[in-house]
Amino acid sequence: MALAESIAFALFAIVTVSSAAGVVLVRDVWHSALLLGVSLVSVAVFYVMNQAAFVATMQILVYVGGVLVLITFAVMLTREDESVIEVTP
Amino acid sequence: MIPAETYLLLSAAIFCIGLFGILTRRNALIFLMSVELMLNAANINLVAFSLQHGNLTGQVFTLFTMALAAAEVAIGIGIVLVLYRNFTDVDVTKATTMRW
Repeated sequence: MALAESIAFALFAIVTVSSAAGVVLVRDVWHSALLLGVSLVSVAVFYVMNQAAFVATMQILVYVGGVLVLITFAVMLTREDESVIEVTP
Repeated sequence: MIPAETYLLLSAAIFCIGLFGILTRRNALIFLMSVELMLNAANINLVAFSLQHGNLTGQVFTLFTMALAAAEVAIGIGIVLVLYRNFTDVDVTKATTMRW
């Protein structure tokens, strides 16, 4: 049981740290926001490991449901148009 | 049970990644995401020590931090949108009009 917990911790630590590094390293802001979502969800797994199921629920509801949607709105509203739609008469 | 030092190491790694993002990137949206990462690093420590000490104080602190993070993003989005309206970019180094 302890071995399984250690393996799960190591796996989710790798997922969390690598996706957090991806947030600050990738060029596209949209991919950065998606990686932030991965990182926040895997942090919720650590809360479940620490017997804090309510905090994990609030993490997913508040962060992924609220904060990430707000950031996505800002990404969409402040994006430069790299592909201008050509309207031909 | 995973020892608390392991959670300290994980939390320090995530905090350093967030600090690196704030110090190196110039996009204002990356700033917001990096602050979220740093707050999450603090939350991991709070929840881990809550289990270690056997009381719920750390979890209550975590809930307060989450409310603070949500409010901070709501204000930050407004600032980013004003930055984009005035400078047609979200590069924080272009906004120098309040520099003394």
